[in-house]
Amino acid sequence: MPHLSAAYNYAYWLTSNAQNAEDLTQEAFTRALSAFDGFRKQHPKAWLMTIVRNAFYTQQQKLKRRGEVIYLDNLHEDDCQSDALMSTQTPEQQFSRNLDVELVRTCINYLSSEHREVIMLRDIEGFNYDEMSQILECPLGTVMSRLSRARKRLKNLMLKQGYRQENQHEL
Amino acid sequence: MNCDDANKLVYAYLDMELDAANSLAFEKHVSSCKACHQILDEEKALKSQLQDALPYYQAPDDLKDKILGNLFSDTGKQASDEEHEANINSNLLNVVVFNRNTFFTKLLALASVLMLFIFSSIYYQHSKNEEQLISEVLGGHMRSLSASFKADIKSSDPDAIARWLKSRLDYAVTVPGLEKLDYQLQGAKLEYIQKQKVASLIYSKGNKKMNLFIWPSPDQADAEEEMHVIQGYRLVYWCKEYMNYWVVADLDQSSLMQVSKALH
Repeated sequence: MPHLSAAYNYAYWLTSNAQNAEDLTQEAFTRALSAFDGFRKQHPKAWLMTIVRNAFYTQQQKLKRRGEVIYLDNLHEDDCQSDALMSTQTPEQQFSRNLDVELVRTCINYLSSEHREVIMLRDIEGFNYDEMSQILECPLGTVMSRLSRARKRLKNLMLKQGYRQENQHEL
Repeated sequence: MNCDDANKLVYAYLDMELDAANSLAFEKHVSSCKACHQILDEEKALKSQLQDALPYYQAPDDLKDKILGNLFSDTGKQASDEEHEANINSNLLNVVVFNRNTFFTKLLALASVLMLFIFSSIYYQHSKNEEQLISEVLGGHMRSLSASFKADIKSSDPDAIARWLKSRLDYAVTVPGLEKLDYQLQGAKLEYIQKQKVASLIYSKGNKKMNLFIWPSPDQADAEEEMHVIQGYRLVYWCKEYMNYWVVADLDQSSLMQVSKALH
């Protein structure tokens, strides 16, 4: 099925939960079929991603109105303490450790949903800035600044976690 | 470009999102600035490692079936009722009917989804091709406006220009005169649009320039006029007797339609 993997992956990045990601993907495909007249000169994959995103935020608004817990951003980067992040590693491990999946996943979870999704859209799905601007429904300049901030925050978190840059002499 | 500018552009550079001018300015600065060069190297290394390490969540195997079932939920419900009845009666025939219904329902749903994305891909590609074509036509007009522009042939004689084009193109071009509308033929140039040689006729009226692009349209005999407005320039397209025509000028709509009517 076209773009199913991309839609599910995006849904997972938004919801951080397998069951919610499945529900959101199903909802997005149903919306895509019933709202084809909304298709406007967009890349079909980018168009589906926009639908996933809109479906997600509609769900969030409903939950908010009902006073239910929103499952996003329960770990906010501003609340992130470097001690807590580093507690699973010994100092030796922290400094000798190269970038790995576990480290990235830990740090990604401490980013806000806005920052998580721009990194995913660019670095995993490979959308260009123009397509990202359509998916996120914001100006190109906002995409650039958000992506830049997201990468800087992720890098800072990873440095706290022990990521050591090849060309870096001091942490 | 200074270090602050370079720092702001480093991600856009790595993402290959800078235009040629900014990209060159960035490279020039980085080649002469050790600190910015180091930042670029670090970010490049991090980006590369991140792309390998970022998690990609694979859709579960049964998600496709769930979506297809969900798309025709009413039919699915009917099928479920039949399944229930089949179970109660232990009627083998009903089970077979149910399985067939489910199979065809899912097949129909899958076909709908596939058609949706095939159609949207074709539509998107068509839109991109059209955007590209308009951009190329407008580019040809913009070049003719530059101070350094030189026509391949300078002449106000339509027959002379037609003969010159005939010797360089494998199709015949009729060169219209537009004196009645006070447009003077200035000459012609060969342009490349959609990877083929195209006749570009250049007209002027006062300080305004107008281009008429003509080339064959093997797949389409005729098409109605279409007006496009890009960056303040108006473009009119039509197709007649297997030939494409594009007129581009910095004119108001009524003046351009007047020209287009005269050319028809």
